[in-house]
Amino acid sequence: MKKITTILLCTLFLFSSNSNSQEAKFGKVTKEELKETKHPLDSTADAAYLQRTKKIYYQFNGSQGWSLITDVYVKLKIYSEEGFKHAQEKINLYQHGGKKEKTTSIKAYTYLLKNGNLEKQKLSKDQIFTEETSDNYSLKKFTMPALKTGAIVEWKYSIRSPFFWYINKQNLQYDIPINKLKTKIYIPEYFVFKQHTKGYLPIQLAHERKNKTNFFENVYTINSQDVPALKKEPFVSNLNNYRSSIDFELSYTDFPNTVREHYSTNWDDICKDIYKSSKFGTELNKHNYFNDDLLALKLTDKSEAQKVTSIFEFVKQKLNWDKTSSKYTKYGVKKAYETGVGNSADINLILTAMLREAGLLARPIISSTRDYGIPLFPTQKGLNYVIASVKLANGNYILLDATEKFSSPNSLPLRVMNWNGRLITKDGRTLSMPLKSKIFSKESQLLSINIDSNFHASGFLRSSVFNLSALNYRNKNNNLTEEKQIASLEKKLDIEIHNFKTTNAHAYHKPLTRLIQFESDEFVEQINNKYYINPEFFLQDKISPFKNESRVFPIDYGTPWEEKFSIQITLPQGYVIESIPTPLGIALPDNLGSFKYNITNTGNKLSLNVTSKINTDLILPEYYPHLKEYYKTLIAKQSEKIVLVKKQTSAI
Amino acid sequence: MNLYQKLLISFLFVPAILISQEQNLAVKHIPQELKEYANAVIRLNEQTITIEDIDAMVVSGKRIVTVLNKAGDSYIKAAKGYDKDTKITKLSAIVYNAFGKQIKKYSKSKFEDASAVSGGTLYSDDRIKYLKYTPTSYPYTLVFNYEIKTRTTGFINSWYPVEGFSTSTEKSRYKIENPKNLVIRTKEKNFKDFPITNKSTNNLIHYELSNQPALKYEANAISRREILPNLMIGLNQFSLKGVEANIDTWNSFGQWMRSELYEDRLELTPETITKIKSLVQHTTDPIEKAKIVYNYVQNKTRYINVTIGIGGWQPALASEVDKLGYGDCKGLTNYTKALLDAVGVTSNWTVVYANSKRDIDKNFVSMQGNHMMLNIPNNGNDVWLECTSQTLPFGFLGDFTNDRDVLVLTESGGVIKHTPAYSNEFNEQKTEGTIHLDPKGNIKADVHIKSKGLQYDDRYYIEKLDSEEIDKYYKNRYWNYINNLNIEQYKFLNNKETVLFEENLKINIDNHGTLAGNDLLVGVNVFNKITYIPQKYRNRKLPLQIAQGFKDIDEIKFNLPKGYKITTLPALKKIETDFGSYEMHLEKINATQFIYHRTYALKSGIYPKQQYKVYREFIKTVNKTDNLRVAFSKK
Repeated sequence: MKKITTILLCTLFLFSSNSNSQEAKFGKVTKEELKETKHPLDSTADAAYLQRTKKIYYQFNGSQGWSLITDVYVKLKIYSEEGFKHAQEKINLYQHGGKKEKTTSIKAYTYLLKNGNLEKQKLSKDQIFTEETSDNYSLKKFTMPALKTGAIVEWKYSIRSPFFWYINKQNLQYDIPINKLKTKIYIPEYFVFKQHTKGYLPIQLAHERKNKTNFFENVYTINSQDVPALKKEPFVSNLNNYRSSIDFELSYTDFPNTVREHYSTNWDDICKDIYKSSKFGTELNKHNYFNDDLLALKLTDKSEAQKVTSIFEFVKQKLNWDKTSSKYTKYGVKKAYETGVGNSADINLILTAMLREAGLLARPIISSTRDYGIPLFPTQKGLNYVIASVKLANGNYILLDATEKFSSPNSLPLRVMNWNGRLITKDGRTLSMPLKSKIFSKESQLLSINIDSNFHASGFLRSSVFNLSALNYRNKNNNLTEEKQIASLEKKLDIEIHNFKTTNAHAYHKPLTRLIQFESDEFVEQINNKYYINPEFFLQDKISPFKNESRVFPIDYGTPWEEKFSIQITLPQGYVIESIPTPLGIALPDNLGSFKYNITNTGNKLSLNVTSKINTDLILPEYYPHLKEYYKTLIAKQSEKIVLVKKQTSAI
Repeated sequence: MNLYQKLLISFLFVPAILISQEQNLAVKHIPQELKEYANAVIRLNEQTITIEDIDAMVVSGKRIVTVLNKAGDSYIKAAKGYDKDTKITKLSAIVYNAFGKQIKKYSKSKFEDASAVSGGTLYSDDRIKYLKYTPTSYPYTLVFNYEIKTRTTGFINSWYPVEGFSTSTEKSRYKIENPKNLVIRTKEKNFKDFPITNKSTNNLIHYELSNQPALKYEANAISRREILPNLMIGLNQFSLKGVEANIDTWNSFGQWMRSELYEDRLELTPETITKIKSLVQHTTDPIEKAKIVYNYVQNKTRYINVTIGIGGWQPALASEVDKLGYGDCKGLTNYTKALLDAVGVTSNWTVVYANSKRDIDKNFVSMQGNHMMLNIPNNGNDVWLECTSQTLPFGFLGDFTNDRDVLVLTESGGVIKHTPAYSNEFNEQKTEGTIHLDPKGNIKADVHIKSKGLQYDDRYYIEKLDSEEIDKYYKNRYWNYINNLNIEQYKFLNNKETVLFEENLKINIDNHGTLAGNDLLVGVNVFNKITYIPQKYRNRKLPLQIAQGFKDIDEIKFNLPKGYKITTLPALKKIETDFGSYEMHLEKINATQFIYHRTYALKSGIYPKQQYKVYREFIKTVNKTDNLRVAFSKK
C-alpha cells in the first residue's frame, strides 16, 4: 500500500510539474523557493528570474481592427539587497497619430517567509505611476512593496498595441540568471515575419503551424533553461551585441482577396524601400540649394581627391550635427543647409549630393552605430545611420562622415565603425561595405633626453597621432586652451613644460603633431651606490589593462593599432653603465600582435626603440590567456632600468 | 490707453529694441577682460521677483549669455521647472550670431518638456521645460525670456551673480518688489571683493553686479559657496504648496514644520505597535531600544523616492512606509521616529544638507537643507541616525552628514545643532602584514587592514560584493598599481558596534622584485602607496582645503629569500608639515628580516594659498618615498 501511494504521488507530482512548465501559474510560490539563499548555479547573483514568460498574439476586433497583445509574466527571486533594483518594472509605451499602446491588468505580489509562514503583499494601484517621457513615449513604472532579502516577487500584465506590424525585440538574456524562460509568439497567416536571432548563447526556436477555424497561425516557441547572467567587461563596444535576443521583422502581409503587400525581405528590397522614402532618395536628389556654393569652391580642374577634401571640409564647416542618428532626414536637406543643423542623414546626404554634383561617383551607405547593435541580417529597423562614400577612378573607396568636425576621409568616428553598411546605388542596387577600418590607429613618440651630472633632465618630446588616434586626440584637446593642455600633461607626466606647440590641429586630413620641451629632476632613482633610470621615462606602461582571471567576450579596439617609441638618451658624465635592459621581441599567436624592444648604447648615449602593435580590431576571448601573459611580459620589460655606477677616479 | 495706442507704441518700441539689441549683442562689444579665461559671458541676468501676496509670486527674467566655446554651452540655462503649484506663463528664446544678427527664434511650444526626475526617484510630478539648441558656430548669444507664477513663496531664488568658474558677468540685476510690505530678510554673503552695488529702496530690494571677470577653477580649493557672492532671501510669512507659515526664528520655524508638516504623519497600526513593543520588551534602556528599532528599519526598508504635491517637504505616512517597505529620506526618518515613539524613546526629525559639507545657516532663517535624518537627544549625548541606509552602523553618519550645522525639530521648536566630526586620527587605517619574498622577486603575503571612522565609511561596502567583484575591487581599484596580483583568500569582519572594518587577506604578487646582477631590488611599500600628485599652479589664487583628515599606519614584516641578506637599509625619512606628517623607516631584525614602518597623516583644514606649493612638495616627497626600492645582495 505504502509503495503504491509513493508511486502515485510521484506520478502526480511529475504530471503537475509538467503542466506547470506548460503555463505559468500566478501565485504558485513555495517555501522551498523562499528559503533558497543562493542561486544554485551562480552564487554571485543578486537576484534571478525563476521564470520569465511572454505570450504575444493577435486579436481582431471589428471597430479597432488588429491589435497585438503581449502578456508578460515574471517571477523573480531576490538574494541580496543589491538585487532590490530588479524588483522594479518599467514599461515603455508608444503613441503616435492618436493611437496608443496600453497596459491592462497589472497584478503584482511580494512573497516573504515570516516565522516559517508564507506572507504576501499586493502592489496597490496607487503605487503604479505613469510618466510622460516625450511626445511619443510614456513610461509605466512600479517598484515592489515590502522587499527583503530572500523575497520572491511576481508580476503580470498585458500590453495592447495598435501598432500590430511592429513586434518588439525580445531579449532572451538579462544581467541576472534566468531559470526558466518561455517566449511564445502566435502570428496569423496574414502576417509574415522574418526572425533574426543573435547573441553568444544558442537559441532553440521551435516553429509549428496551428489550425484555427478559418485560418492558421504560425507559432514560434523559445524554451530556455538556466540562462546565465550577462556581465560587463572592459573593451566591449556594446554588450547588447552579445545578449541573446530574437527580433521579428514584417516581410509581407497577405490577406484574403487583397494583393500581397511586401515589406523588407532582403537587402535589395530594404534599401529600395529606404531609397523610395521622401526622407531619403528625394532629399538626396535635391541640389539647387547648394549649387552656388559648390560653384564658389571652384573644383572643375581639381583632382578627384582634392574635390573630395574640399567638399568634405566645406560640409563639416557648414553643418553641425544635432547628435541624433537616423537613416532618414529630420529637418530636410534644404532646411538643414540653411540653418546649419542636421542629423546624420541630413548632413551626409547633403555631402553625398554635393560630391555627386561635382562629378564624383558618390553614394550613401546606410548603417548602424555601435550602440544600436549589429545588422547581421537584412533589417530595416536595425539601421540608424547614413554616411557617404566615393568610388575613385582607380576603384578605391573613400568613406566619409561629416558629422564629426575633426574627422578626415576614410577615418570614421568609432561609433560608425560597426560591422558592414549597405551602399545604395542610384538605380537602387545595393552592396555590402565593411565599415570597420583596417587602417591602423597610430601613435609615435620621439623622445630626446639629456641628464646632467646633478641628475637634472631636460629634453623634448615629439608626439604624432594618426587616424583614429588623431580623431580622438582632436576631440579631446581641440576645444581646450593651451594652458589647460599643458597643465594636464604636466600632471600626467610629472614634468615641467616650457614649450608647447601643436601642428595640424585643424588640418584634419594630416597627422597631428605635438612638440613639448620639458625638465624634470625625478628620473634617477638611487639605491645604495647605484643609480637606476627607466629608459622609457614617463612613456612607460605601468599597469596591465588585463588583470582579471578570464574573459567571455571579444576585446574590441575599434581598429588595429600601433604605438612606437623612439628614445635617445644622453646619460650623465662621470658615471658608467653597469647594465642596460636586454632587447626583447614577443608576439601573440596568429599574428594578432607583437611587442619589440630594442636597446643599444655607445658610450653615454643610449637609444631605445619600442614598437607595440595589435594587428586586428577584435581579439577573440579564446586568446585572453595569451593576451594576459603577453601584457605581463611587456609590462615587466618596460619596468626594467639602466643601472649606473660612479666612475672610479684614479689617483694622480 | 486704447488698443490702437497700445499697438502703436509697441510697434514703435519693438523695432527700436531689436536694433539696439542686435548692435549690443555683437561679441565685439564684450570688454576684453570679460573674455579672458571665460567659456561664457553672462551679458545680462535680470530677475524681478514680485511678491504679490503670501501665496502669490511672479518671477520674470531676461537672461542673455554669449557662449564663447563648447564648454560654455551649459551656461545658456534656458530651462524652467514647473508643477501643479507653479506655472510657466512666458517662455521664449532668440539666438544671435557673433555679429549680433538674429539666427533663430523659439516660442514656448518649441521648448522640450520632460519629467524632472533624479536618480533613486520612482516618480515625481516635477517637470521641466528646456531648450535643446545645437550651436552652429561659436561664439553665439542666446536671449532667454521667462515669467513664472507660483503660489509657493517659501523658496525665493537666492541671488548668485557669479555663476561659477570660467564664466564672466557683464551685468546681473536682482530685484524683489514687495507691494504688500511683507517682512523680507536678506543676508549678504561673500560680497567683499566683488563689484556689487545695492540700490534698494523702501519697497524694493535691488542689487547689481557689473563687469566681473571669470575666475579660474583650482583643485583642492575651498568650496565655491565660501567664495562666491550670494544674497539669501527669507520671508517671515510664506506659503509652501498651500501650507502657510509665519515664522521669524529657527525656533518658530521648527514649530511650524512640526505642527503643519510632520506631526500628523506618525500614526502606525496597532499590530505594528504591538510588534515593535514586543521586540524591545527585554530592555528598558532607551539606546538599546533605539538600536533594535534602527536594526528593524534597516532590515525592513529601502530608499525609493516618490514625490507628489507637497511630498517634497512632507513625509509619507508612517503606516504607508510600514506597508510598502520603502520611502524617501523623510518617509524613512519619520517611520523610524514613529517606531521610537511607540517604544517610548524621544527622537526629532532633523533637516540637513547632505553629501558635500554645508551648514544650515544658523543666523538666517529660511527653507534650507536637502535631506532628513533623525536625532535622539539622549540626555545631551545626541545620537544621530541615517535612516536611508540599510547597512550603516547605529549612530554612525559617515561623510554624508558628519560635522555640520543641522536643524533639529525638537518638541519646543527648531534648534541648530552640530553633528559629530570624524576628524584626522579618528579616521585611522592600520595595515599589518608579513611578506615572504622568493629569489625571483615573487611575494606571498598575509595582510590585515583595519579601518575606522571615515575610512570605515569608504570601505565597509565591499563586504556586500560577490567574490568576482571583490577580486576586481583589489585588482582594479584599491591596488590598481600592482600588476600580477592574486587574491588567494579573503575574510572580512564588520564590527558595527565599534565601527571597525577588518580585511584579512592572503595574496601573492608575481615579479614584485626585480633582479639586477647580484642584487634583488624590492619596492618596500607594497600595500599603501599614494599615486596622486596635486596639480601644479604657477599662480595659485585660492586657499587650499584638505577636506578629510586621516591617519594611515603600516607595519609590514619582510622575510628575504634564501641566499639573500640585508646590506644597508635606507635612513629614516621624517617630514612634519602644517598639513600633516609622514614617517618611514626600516627596522632591521636580523640579516634576513626587517619591518617596514610607515605613518602618514593629513589634517583637515583650510590653509592660505601660499601654502599650496609647500603642500604639493610634501605630497610629491611622500609619493617619491612610497616608491623607494631597496637592494638586497646574494650572500
